[in-house]
Amino acid sequence: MISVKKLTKTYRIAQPQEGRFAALRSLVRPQYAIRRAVDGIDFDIQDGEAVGYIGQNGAGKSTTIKMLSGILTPDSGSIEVNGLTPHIERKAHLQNIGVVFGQKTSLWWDVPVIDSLRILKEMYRIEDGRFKRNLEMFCGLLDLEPFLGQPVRQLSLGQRVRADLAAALMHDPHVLFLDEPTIGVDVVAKERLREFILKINQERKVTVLLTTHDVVDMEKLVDRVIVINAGSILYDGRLQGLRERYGRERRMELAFEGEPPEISLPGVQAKKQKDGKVTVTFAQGQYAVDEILFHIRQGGVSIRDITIQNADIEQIVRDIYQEGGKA
Amino acid sequence: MKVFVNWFKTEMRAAGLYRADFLLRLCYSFIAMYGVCSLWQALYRQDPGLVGRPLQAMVTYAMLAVALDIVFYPSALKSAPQNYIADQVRTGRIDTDLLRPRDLQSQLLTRNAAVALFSLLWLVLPAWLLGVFFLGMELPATALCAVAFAVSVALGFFILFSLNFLLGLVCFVTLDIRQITMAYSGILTILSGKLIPNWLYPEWMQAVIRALPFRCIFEMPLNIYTGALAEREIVLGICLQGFWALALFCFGRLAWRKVHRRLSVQGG
Repeated sequence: MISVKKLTKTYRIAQPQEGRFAALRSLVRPQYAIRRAVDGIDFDIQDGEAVGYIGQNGAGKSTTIKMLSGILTPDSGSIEVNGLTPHIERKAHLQNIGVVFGQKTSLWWDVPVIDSLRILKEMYRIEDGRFKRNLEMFCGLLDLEPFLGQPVRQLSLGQRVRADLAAALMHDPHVLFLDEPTIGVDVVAKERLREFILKINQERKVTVLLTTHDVVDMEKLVDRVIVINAGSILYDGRLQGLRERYGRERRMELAFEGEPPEISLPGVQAKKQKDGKVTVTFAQGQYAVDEILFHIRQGGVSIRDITIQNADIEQIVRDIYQEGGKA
Repeated sequence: MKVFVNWFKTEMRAAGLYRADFLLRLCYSFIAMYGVCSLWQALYRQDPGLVGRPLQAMVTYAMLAVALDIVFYPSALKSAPQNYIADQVRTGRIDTDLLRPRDLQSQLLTRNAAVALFSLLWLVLPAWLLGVFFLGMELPATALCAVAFAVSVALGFFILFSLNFLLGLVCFVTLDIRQITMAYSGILTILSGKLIPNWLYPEWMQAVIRALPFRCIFEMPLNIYTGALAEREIVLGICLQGFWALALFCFGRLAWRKVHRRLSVQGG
């Protein structure tokens, strides 16, 4: 179980100075700006949960992950992962977690994958039997075999992330932190990564905390999301609920028998498509779908087909990012 | 220990993979040995009393220095601690090293020692054999010298590792150590007794060198091998090496702790 309480982290950033002897002055007495990367966040994650951690670049996602994995010390607040405080009981904690960064490999750059795995085996003191079982399993699921003998620097991005995932899970951690694992990976490879992560989460009951910008990742992998913006949590709940809370716009596509009518309801926008269909958008909660249909039929036209679209998560995420969550 | 064994095996496989590179390195050290051999012979023809040691002992000293350089050259290997740290810091991958359940210093020492042992067995030993058979290199003066030499080389390695590691830590502050590495390599070349025997320097400079750890890397083992030191001096020399090895290792540990704390508080 992961429990985070009132967690804050500030960074000091050296400020460039202006005016005479600026370079000299910034050397002698540098001035700093304080930036709150994480500003008093709370959340709990139960064993076996898969949680999406989303937010814009610079929102504080990676800082949180770094604190959770114990390589950054929080300014204040507390973190507990499986009963351990990451930055204090560092070594015991690291035996318990796996971390994968989509942006950088944690394997040795110039060493063949299999050698890296063997070295990690000894570092984490993994028994021979367990190592063999896991290696076989991951080779099967992630198709590692073709490039096991190649050094990491020769791998494609997709292969590299697969190798990294295997490396992060060799010691059977209870918790897996994934920092943008699918970034830059092609569609087919992404799908395989997702299947694998899902399997690990569901069959091995590994708790997964995943940061991503990819909406499909969220929809396929997690049922709960935590949205962070400027260091604070905006939303923590089911992915579905995010849609209800922030998905303010609903969209409906109508096809008519004959000429499409004008729709004049306050707050409803109708747009004619080239194929004769009409797209109607309206604010969630302002009208019931039925009211709009009733209004249209009053004009004496008959509707041939209706498609009602839920606001998709992608749109919602975009809205949240743009508005900084002023909902 | 098992990590060490695995790094050693990895290194073996890499050597098999890059055979041409491996042979070139061997070739290079043989040529370099031949070069210093000729140089000293030429110098002795000018003035046999120049160095104060017999020609054969001096030639052996110089050639062995070149052979040991394969293990000791500070910036030749990507896996040398300062190069590795510089690389990881520059690419931002250093985080991932901190995510392993081992201390950075011991991670690096394990890998570096494995690489060094590999080079010793597969590059230095063949070079030494070539030197003995073809270039008139002497064998160790006595059996005791041979044993003491092995101990001394191992200690020399530890001292060099710790110096390299400290240099690598500078990288966390300055982000780039290329210039410093150049200066460092220069100092090492001149003060360690690798190229120029330290006893040829003026007295004041010898005093400076005696106060520094660098001569423990090359001069000490080489002097032991060539029989230039009496038994008592050998024991003292090895004690001195032990002192430097321990002191620098502890200093490296402390410095790393400080850097680590700073990293974990201030972020990368």
